[in-house]
Amino acid sequence: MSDRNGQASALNIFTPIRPGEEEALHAFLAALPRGAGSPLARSSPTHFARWVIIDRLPTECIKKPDRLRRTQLLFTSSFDGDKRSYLEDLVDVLTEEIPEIWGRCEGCPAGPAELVDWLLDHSVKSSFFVAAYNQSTVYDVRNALAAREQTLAFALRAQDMDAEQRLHAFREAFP
Amino acid sequence: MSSLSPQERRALIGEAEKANVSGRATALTAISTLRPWGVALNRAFFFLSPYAPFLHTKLKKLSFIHFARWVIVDSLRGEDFKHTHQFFESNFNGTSSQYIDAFSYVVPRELGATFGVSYGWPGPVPAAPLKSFITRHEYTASHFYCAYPQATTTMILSSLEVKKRLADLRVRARDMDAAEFDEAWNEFLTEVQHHL
Repeated sequence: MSDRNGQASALNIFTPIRPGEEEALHAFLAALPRGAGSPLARSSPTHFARWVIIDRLPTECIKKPDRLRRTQLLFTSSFDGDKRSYLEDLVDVLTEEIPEIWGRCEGCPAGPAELVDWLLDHSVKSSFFVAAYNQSTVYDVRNALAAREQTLAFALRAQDMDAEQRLHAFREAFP
Repeated sequence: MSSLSPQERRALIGEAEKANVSGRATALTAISTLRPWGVALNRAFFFLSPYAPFLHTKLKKLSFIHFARWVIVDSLRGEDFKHTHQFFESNFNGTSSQYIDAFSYVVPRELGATFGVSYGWPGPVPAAPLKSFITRHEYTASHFYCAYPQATTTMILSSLEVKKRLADLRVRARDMDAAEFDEAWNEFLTEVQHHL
């Protein structure tokens, strides 16, 4: 069992949606702003995350397939650090949205500390977790992307400089 | 249409194509049911996988994957399962179709080892039946987030390499004269040019 790869962690949380709330929950999630406007953008350790409504289980080629009693809300995340600290931060930054999301699930507690425990209680451990850059935080990744852009821009600019100018400009651009 | 679940209806009308995408990143979420004899096999495979460098090497060949996971699900709170299910998630660059093609042809054995014990598994090649299998087991994200949506995995790995070498040059440049820096700069560019 491994929810950890380097400094990166994985989280998989299945919570049962209250009957009748499924479509409203989907509509709320689907209407959330995307990209930089996503509420998940407020969670600085989150690399990738998603909410998925699981309303069925596979049936093909299975004599007696399992049927879900409750449609499940699946939340998964690939993030930096440990699970509890991550969820504490997440619950803090999603205060406005939580009643509309996990608040539509059975047994969702009101208090933030209880909510973190409840979410952990509904988590399922990963069996195998792959991370392409497992030693780099979101901050590291963004920083590196910016450094690459800056280097490229400097390299283009420095082409027409003499040695003295280039050294001076480099020290200025990369103090 | 009425016998379809909301998820299946969304997939049918093509909603998944937009909802599962954030910039250059795509989300794939799938659940399959494991044959009883395959549960222990998959557990053993996943348990041993961290000690199998060849698997990581192979997966690294799939250079468009940011993060992926396999999760064996025996039970969920409030549910009573007769079967064991396997949840698979990936965050990658490109389209689902390209992703499955690459998986199918680059790591067919590994794909067979992880999904081969699922009911309805068509085999890793050819890719068309595999795509159909994944589509039938896939779920559309209601909300998908990526912290750096315009960056591919390759761009990130390259950027990390550039940043490391740049940090080194930055320190060394403090004590260099113009001629020394000129040489160091050219050396740096040669080293990082394929990362820019």
